[in-house]
Amino acid sequence: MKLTFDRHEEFEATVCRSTVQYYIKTGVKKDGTITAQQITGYWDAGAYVTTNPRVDYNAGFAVNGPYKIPNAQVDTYVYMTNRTLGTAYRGFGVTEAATLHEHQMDIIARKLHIDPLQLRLHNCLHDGDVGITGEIISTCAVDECLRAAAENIDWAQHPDRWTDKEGNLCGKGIACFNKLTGTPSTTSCIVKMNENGSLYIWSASREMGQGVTTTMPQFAAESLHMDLDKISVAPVDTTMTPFDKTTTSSRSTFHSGNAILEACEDIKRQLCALASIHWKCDKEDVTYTDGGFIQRISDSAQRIHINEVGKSGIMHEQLPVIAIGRYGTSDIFDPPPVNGRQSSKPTIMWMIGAQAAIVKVNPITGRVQVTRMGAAHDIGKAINPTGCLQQIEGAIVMGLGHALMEEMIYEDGNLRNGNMVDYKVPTFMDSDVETKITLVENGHPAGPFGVKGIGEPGLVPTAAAIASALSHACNTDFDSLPIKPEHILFRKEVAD
Amino acid sequence: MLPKFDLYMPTDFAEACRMKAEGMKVVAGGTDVYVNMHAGKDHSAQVLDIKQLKELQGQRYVTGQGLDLGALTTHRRIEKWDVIKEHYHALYQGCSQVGSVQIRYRATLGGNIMNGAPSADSIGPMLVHDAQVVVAGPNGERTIPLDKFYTGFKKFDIQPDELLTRIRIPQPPANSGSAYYKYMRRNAMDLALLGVSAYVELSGGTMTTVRIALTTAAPTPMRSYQAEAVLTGQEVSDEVFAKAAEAVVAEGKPRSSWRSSAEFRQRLLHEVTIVVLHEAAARAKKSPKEKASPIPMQLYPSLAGLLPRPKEEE
Repeated sequence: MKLTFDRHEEFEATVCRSTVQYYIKTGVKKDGTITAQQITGYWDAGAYVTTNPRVDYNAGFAVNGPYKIPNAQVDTYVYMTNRTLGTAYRGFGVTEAATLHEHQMDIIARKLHIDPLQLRLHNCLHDGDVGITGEIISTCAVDECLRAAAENIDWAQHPDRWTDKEGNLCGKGIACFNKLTGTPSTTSCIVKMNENGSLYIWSASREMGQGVTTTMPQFAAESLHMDLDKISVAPVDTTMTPFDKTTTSSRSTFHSGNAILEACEDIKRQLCALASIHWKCDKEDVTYTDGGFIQRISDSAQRIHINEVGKSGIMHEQLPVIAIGRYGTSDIFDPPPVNGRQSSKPTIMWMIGAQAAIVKVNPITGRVQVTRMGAAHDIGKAINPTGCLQQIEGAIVMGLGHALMEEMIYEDGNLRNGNMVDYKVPTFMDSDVETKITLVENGHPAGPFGVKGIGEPGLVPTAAAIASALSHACNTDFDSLPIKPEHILFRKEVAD
Repeated sequence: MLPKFDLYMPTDFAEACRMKAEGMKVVAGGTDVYVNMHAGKDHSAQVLDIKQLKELQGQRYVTGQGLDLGALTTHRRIEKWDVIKEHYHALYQGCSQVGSVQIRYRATLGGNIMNGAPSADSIGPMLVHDAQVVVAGPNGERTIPLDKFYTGFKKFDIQPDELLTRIRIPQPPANSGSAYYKYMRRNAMDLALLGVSAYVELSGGTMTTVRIALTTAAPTPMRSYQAEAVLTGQEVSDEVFAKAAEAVVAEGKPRSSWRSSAEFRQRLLHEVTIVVLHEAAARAKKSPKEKASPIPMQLYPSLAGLLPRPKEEE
């Protein structure tokens, strides 16, 4: 079967990020300490209810932000309209949640005359704190990320707002977030050693530009101490590739990585067994060294490096070397019962980060230029640092559209801008943002080599940071996205 | 998907005129025609590609006389031509902001005129530079001022057997300057939500000739004669520019649509007119070589709040 949509149909009848509206009430002491927060939210699921309740559920855990809040209540509702089907969009509800809670933090900072960064640092979660669901928080480097993101735009050297020498209105803003990954979830892979010594990975983790076909071989190469160019990844076809829950939720590197590490341990055992046959010795007399040698314990001169295993002949006419790796988080997950108790472990990993923005607004035309973005993300361990930076950089450009341009405009129930002329996404010419990124590496105990996800987090705080900077620059309180020139020209300024 | 059609590429002008009279769809760069055909908005079965016609080709600048541009002159040619930057700067600004580089290599000035879009970026600048168009057919040639050539939305003073062949733009004097501001939502690949072009001749501090044209303000690109009358014979000042801006808003009558509200368009027209007039006047004072350079927008942050503005939405 082949289904063909033209561009307008693709806009109207596939899926989009849904409209969401939240009301947040926060109890704060004069010194900025948050004591309580009550949140009510509404999500427009569009014409069908599919993913939206799960997006809403996921956002519910994150919508208080990475803050210490002793009393919290979150009530959210999903409603249906005759609009485009709403679903998850790079962040699974947390991008929206971060924009909302960070807007609330800015209002609090303004009313209490506290620096927006200081207010966040004053309230943010640290390891050992109790999260809103009663979870004991760990591997949460939000303090470090906030400071690094701020430093990356020279936060301390700028006031909240100023006018540059050409007369542009300028402002700075900052935002942080905590994002979950879908839990429980499971994955599996098959790793096969070919007789010529090359390695082949079957996994259903799909390459979508996020680099998973680079990171999966990296795990195998690191585990086996094998050359990366000997490892390849099978094309994905669900009729034959082993099960993986989804390629979503910034979970692939974390989950597939763990599965591949398990499979590689088995590969090592199988190779050692074949070597013992070859050397006519006991199985127990062969070990796999950290340096990638299949080595006889009683005679260290008898050894084969993994890169030479094809030439060694140990696999010739022997049982094929093939291993299964599996990983799942069902065991750690604490499913919340319907009686209202919250999950004390809603996610296997919290992804943490912060971004800060400096914007420049032309007061005549209302046009915005995001001049600088500083980012800092707690990625556990960067096994492919360039890949991490590219994910964050790309996400920031995507976030420009989220903050300033992208919206679906309905008139009399009809989608008006279902085409690439009228639905504005940033072009390369709009992407001239000076970007500085810090990777915070604290290592996650359950992550393969300590990694956490970074597929979605780069986008999560971007629009929030830009909106914060714009509100400061224009001395107002923009409470919806995108923030367009008409909103800027017709803004109502707030009292200092 | 592009529908099936017969493509004709005549080299003989008379034959091309005959084919057009038969109702064939005329195409030059194809950046509008083929886009519409792809989108299912145009089902022409016969397409007449006029790129082989030498009558429509070539472009020439003669000092003292001005420009003689074949209708097939591309936006990229205009963009990369120093003469345009120096003497017809508004036209450089208009042509260099159309679509992308790839589109500008194909899109022609003749096509921009004959597509008849109110948002056409080359038209406002040509209007303020007092361009004339030449149409030709079996009964010979006619020369028509560009602002008389438009008779309505996508309607022109042209017969079915006539083709637009050339565009002629007079030599502007050394004491003149022009500017175009295209208001876009993003920095490339966008249509003008609104555009203002201005041409100013300065004698001492006095504006002896002023022409203003509006883009995306009416069914056709238009001149704002009332605003021109406000300015002619006046000294350059913020106050007189603000008065002209009010006249522009009154004459442009922008309307609300889902793309933006009338209030926003009015506000922009007002502000952008002042900006463009300042730029044109500043350019008029410069030597030809200096006229080629960009002039940074003057924001007047202190003044912006003081100028009279159209009423804002409550």
